[in-house]
Amino acid sequence: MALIIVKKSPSEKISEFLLNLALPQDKVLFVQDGVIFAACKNVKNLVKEGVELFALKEDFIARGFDEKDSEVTLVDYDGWAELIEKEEKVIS
Amino acid sequence: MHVTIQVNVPPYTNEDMDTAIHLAEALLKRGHKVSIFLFADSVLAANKLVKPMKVDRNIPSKLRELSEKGVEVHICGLCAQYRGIGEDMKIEGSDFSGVPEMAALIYNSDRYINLLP
Amino acid sequence: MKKVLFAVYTSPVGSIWINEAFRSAFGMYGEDLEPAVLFVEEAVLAVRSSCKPELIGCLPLAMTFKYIEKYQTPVYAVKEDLDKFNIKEDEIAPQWNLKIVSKDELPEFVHSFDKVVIF
Repeated sequence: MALIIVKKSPSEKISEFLLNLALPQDKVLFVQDGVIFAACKNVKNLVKEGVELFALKEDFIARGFDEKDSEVTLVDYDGWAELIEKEEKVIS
Repeated sequence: MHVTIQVNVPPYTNEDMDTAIHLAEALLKRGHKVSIFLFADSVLAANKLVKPMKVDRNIPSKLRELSEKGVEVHICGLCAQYRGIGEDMKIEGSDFSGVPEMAALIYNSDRYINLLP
Repeated sequence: MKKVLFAVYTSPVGSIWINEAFRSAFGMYGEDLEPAVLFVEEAVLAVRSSCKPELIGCLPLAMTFKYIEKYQTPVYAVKEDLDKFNIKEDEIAPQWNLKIVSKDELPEFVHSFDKVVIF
C-alpha cells in the first residue's frame, strides 16, 4: 500500500487533502510541521479506519513536544527509511 | 533499492534540504542507492559559494559529502540558469540535469519521494 | 509503462508550480511514462480562460496548451473545488480538455498512479 507523507501543518488545506487520500492499510507519516498533527487529540479521526499513523521523532521533539505527547507512533529517520522500504508507493 | 528525493523549496528558509539530507543518510546506512533531485528554488542548495554563519550548517557542503558517499545530486539546469547558478558555483559531485533526467529517475527509482512546496 | 501524476494544490499566478507541473509532465514522454496533471484546491482557478498570469508579467498558462494538444496529456480538476469557486463549464478554457473527478473518487484515483508528485 502507500506511504503518504504530510509535511505541512494542520492549518494547511493540503494536509487535509493528503489525509483524505489515505485508504485502509495505507500509512501516513507526519514530518516537518506535519508533526503538529501528532499532538492533536483527534488525529486518528482525521483518517479512515485502518490507516496507520506515524510521526518523525526528530521533528516532533525539536518543536518542544515530549515523546509522551504524541498520539501516534514516533519513528526516527531510520524508521522512515524502513517505511519507505515496506510501502510500495509514496504519495508526497 | 533506488530511492530518489526531490526538493523544491530554497534551503535555509525551509527545512526541506535538512529533511532530504537526513533521510538520504538513513537510506545510505540501510544500503540503498540514493539520488537527490534539486528542482526550482532548491537548486540554491548546490551553490558552494554560500557563506552561512559559523554556528549554522553548510548545506552545500553536506550535499557534497553525500555525493562522496555515492549519492547522485542532480540540479535542474534550467532552474539553475534562472537563478544564476553557474558551472563554477556548483558543488563538486553534482550534475546539471533536467526534466529528462527527472523522468529517468521517476521511471527507474523504486521509490520517488517528493517534498512538496 | 508507468503512470505518473503531477498534482498541483497551489494557486496559479502567485507561484510557478502549475507551469512547473506541466513542464515536468511533458518531460515524462521521453521515458515509458504516462503523465497526468490534477488541479486541487486553489489550483483549479487556472482553468478559467480569464486566468492570465501574463497580466502581471508572469509566464502565461496558455503556453502549455500546444503541448497538451500534441501529447494529449490528461488534465483533471476536483469537482468540489471547481464548485467552491463557482467555476462554470462555459468559463473553462477548452484547451485544457478538462476532465472532472469528484472528491469521493480521489483516493482511488491518486492510488492508481505508480508515482505521485505534488506541487
